[in-house]
Amino acid sequence: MKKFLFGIVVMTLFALFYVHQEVELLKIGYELRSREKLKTELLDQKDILTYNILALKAPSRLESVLSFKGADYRMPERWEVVAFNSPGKGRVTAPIERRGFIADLFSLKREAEAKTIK
Amino acid sequence: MHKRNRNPRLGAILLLFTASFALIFLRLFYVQVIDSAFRLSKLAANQHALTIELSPERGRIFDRNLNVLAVSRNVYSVYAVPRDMTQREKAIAMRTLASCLGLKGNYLSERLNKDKLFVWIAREVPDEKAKPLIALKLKGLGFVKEPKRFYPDGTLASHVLGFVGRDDKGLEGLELLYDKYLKGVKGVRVLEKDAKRRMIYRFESKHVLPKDGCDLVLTIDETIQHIVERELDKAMKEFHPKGASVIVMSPQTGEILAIANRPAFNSNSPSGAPIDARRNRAITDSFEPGSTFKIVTASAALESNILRENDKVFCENGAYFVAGHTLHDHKPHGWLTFREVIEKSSNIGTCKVAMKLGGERLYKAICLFGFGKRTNIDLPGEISGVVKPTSRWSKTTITAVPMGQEVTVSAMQLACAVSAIANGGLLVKPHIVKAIQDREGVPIKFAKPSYLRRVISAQVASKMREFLAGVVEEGTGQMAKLPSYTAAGKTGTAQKITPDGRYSHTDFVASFVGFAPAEDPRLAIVVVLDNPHPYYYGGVVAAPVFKRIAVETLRYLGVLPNEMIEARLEKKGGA
Repeated sequence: MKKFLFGIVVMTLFALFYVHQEVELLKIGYELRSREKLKTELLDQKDILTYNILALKAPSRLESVLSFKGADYRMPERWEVVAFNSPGKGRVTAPIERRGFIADLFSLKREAEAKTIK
Repeated sequence: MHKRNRNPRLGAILLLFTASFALIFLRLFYVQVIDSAFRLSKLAANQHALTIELSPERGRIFDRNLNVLAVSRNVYSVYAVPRDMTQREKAIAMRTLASCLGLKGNYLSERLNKDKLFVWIAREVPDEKAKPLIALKLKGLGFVKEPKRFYPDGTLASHVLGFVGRDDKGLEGLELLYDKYLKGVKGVRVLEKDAKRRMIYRFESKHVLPKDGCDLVLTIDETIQHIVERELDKAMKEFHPKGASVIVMSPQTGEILAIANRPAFNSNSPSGAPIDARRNRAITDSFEPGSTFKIVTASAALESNILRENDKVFCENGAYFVAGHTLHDHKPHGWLTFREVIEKSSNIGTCKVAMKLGGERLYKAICLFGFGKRTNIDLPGEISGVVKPTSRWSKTTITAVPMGQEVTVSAMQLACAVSAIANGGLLVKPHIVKAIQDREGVPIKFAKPSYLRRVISAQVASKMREFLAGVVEEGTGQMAKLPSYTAAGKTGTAQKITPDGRYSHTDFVASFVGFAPAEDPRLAIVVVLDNPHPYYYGGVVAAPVFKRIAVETLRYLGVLPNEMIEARLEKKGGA
């Protein structure tokens, strides 16, 4: 009789555990659903904002805004273009004169020097 | 022997109960086994199962620098369930919808008073209008999200991009031609729903993810396209043509950098535009090219070696009676060199050159340049134009064809022909889609420059470039002269044909075909204006458009102006 009762209790507990698990899974499913919905809404929102940025930076819109503000942008004429040699190969730069910290303090020249950190 | 006490009443009750239980058992058996297998399980499945079609996102369209030209977004559409609504609820809904969406009372009344389970109220409603409406939670109104195609720059390249219908299917332009790549593959999800019609993820039986559409990367450059459209708009205001087209092409690769037409339409709202405005005139319209066609005659003459640059042609002082009619020049000329004939666009001189060349050789050259056949550009609706075989030529054809009459061409064919001269004599296949790639940016298809055939030798092409540079420097195309770059080209002013088949003296097609810089062409440009007024000469109307587009585009592309190149060469020479 004891064995029978023990068996019944075990089976009941197992059944309850199973039902609890199923209910929890359903709850998680609903949670997932609401989060997925939120994700979709946020992604849609992001898409709309991205589209708005694209529309705002469209060349025709930018030009109409500039012309409305009276800005007169145009390509430079030939006499307004000064050609520089591109930096890199063959560019000659004067070596930086190093005088030491104390001497630099009393230097009359204003110098901006970027030091390389090794 | 014991006699059994039989109670007939008890027996009857026993029988009744036995029969009743038997009936119940039979019914149970029928319901649980037979009916369940054939009907009830299906009914239950229909009630619980929820099949959701998962729409793929339509592929995007980018310009050559990956600026977005077309993109799909989900927007709300509003529907109603009139049968679920009371008169009071309908009245509230009508008031709210009228104020939120700006819909008319008559329309709403007609929709909401239908005895139906589902009616559309408004499709593709902007979020800012839909969201307040959703928040009100009106009974009988529902909202679904539908994909909608957006074109951030509205009219920019609208003829190239085309547009899509309500069902997200391409109807025009690249949207139509590349629909199978852009549309993607639908997915499906089958799961169960609860009493409140909510999805139960626990019982998902099928989930096939949708495959988003591929992206298109075009050869179009958004900035160049904008420059072209802006200049075309200026020309429309200044010369009031019925229509206009411009093509900017890379003569070496056949890549189309810009195509613009006027009138134009906004791809975001194509239904409001007349059909005339939706036509991609640069490929769907053919016209008699007029003097721009002289580049073909001159190339054929040089290629056949029948004339040299400085050989003299007598231009009859402006009037020449040939094949039963009198040919005129717009200005009388006497003796001109062959080069001057082209520079000054003499009809009589060109006609004499063509007669010396002969019809067969001229026809062969026309075909070699690709006229009379589609260029096979990847855009829908291209026409082939009309080139009559020599067997159908009349006595006057040899005097008409060399100067661009009795043949019809499209602007795209002219662009390919002038590109052949610009690139050293090779006919390139024009293309507008650079690559098709998946959503991760992995290319599926690549367009490579393809040369169809050699049209003229490199030497003849070089000589033709000199001729055409002369047209801009000293001839009819001086208004196409660029401030800091060299340019070459040919003007054209073609009389249109009246409905009674005669050449009009009031309606013209003004055109300019050219390239820049003349010595190392980076751009081939065709400008066509249909029936401009009050001015109608190609050199006056179309050449300035070419000039403005060419100079701005070359600066944008970072092509060095002549004087900078010269300065560099001098410096190198000095060093």
